[in-house]
Amino acid sequence: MATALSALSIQHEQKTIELDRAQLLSQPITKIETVREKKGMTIKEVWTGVRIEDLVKLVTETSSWQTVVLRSEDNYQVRLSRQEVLESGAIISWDRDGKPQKNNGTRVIVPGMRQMYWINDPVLLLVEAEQETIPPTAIVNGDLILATLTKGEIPPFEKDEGYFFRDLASALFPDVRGSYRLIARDGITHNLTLEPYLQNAVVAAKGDTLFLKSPDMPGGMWIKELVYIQKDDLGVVFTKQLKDFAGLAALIDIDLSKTSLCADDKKKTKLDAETPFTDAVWQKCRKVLLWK
Amino acid sequence: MEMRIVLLLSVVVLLVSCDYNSPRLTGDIDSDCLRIHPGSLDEILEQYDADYALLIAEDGIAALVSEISFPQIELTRKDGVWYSQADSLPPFCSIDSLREICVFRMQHERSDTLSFQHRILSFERIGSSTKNDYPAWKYRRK
Repeated sequence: MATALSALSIQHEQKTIELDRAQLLSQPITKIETVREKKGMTIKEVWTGVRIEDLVKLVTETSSWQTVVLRSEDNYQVRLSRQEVLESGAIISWDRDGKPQKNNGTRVIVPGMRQMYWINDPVLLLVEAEQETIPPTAIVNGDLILATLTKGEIPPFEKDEGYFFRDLASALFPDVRGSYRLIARDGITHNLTLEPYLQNAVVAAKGDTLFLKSPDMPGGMWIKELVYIQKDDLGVVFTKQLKDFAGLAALIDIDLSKTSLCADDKKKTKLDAETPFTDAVWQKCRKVLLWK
Repeated sequence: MEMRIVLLLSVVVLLVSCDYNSPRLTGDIDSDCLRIHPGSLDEILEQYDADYALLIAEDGIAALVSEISFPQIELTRKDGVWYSQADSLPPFCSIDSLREICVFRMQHERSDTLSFQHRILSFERIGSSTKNDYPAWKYRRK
C-alpha cells in the first residue's frame, strides 16, 4: 500500500533523483481539468499535481528524450511518448477536487488517454532517449509454431491451458534475453523485458484467442487477444484474429509499398499481402521474408 | 605395397590441403563441428536452413546477423587469416580473424552445450546498428 512517505525515483541514463512526497509537493504545481465517461455518466474532475515534463527537467536539461516509462510498486508499467506527455500535459497528481488521493498516494493523470495509463502510486519515472524500433525483416507464422509445442497446464493459472512464453521464445529467437514488443488485436502495444515481466509469463489459448498473462505483471498489463510478438528483427504473427497480412502491416506500421513479401522456401515464392490468412498459401508458410 | 603408398600419399595430400585455420561452423547443425570454405555466407549456410548466424572473431567480439543479411557477407582468406567482408552491413559485421560461425535454427531440437542458445549465453550484447535496412547486433564474450 502506498503511504505518504512513498518516494519517486526519476532516472535518466546515469542520473537518478529521489523525491519524497514533500519534495514532490514542492515542485511547480499545476491544475488540470479532465472529463471522462464512467457508467454512462460524465465526470468532471480537477487534479492538482506536478507536470511530468517538469519532473523530466530535473534529470535532463536537453530535449533529446523521447519516451518516459512510469512504473508502480506492483510492476505495473506504462510508456508515454514525448509527444503524449507534452500534448496531454500529463501530471503526477496528489489531489483530486481538493481532496488528497486515496492513502495520501499519487496518480498519473494523462488527459485524453485511456485510464489504463492513469497508474496509481508511481515509484519510477524513467526518461529514455528514442527507442529504436527495428522493422521486422522476417515474420514467422506463430500458429504453425504453437502447433509443434505441447499445449498443457500453465501454472499458476490453474483454469487455463496454453504455453509457457519462455518455451515459445526459445523456439523462435536466437537470444531470449532483452526486450519484446507485444501487440494486441486492438493495437495496444507493450514493450516488455524478459526480466522481470515475461520470464514466467504464459500464453493462454482459448478457441482462436491468445491471452498473455504473467504472475509478475498486474492484471491490467495482461494482453488480451495477442496477435503479434517481435524481438529484434523477427516478428511472430498469430493469424486467427487477423484478416490478412495487409491488416497486420497496418497494425505494426509496415509500409507495403516499399516492401515485398516472399516465403522462406527454396523458390522464395512471392506472397500477396491481401490474400486471406485462411488461404492455403499462408497455412503452409512458416516464415515470410520482408525485402525492401 | 603400392596400394599402401597410394593410401599414405592420399592421407598426406588430404592433411596438407586441409585448412585448420578456417572458421568452425557450430551451433544448431547436425555435426559437432565443421570447417568452412571461402564464399558467400548465404551459400555456405544454405544446406543448414539457418535463421541467424553469430560471426565470432578471435578476440571474442561477435556480430549476430539474420538470414536476410547472409547474401551480403563474403568470407575470404588472405595470408592464412579469415575475414568476413560485409560493406552493406554495419561495420562491426566485417570481422578480422574470424574464428567461428555459430548457427541458429528455429525449433532445432539440439539442447546440448553446443547449441546456439547455450553458446549465446556466454556472450553479452553490447550494441546494435542498422545499415541499408540490414540490422545487426554486436556481442562480446563474457
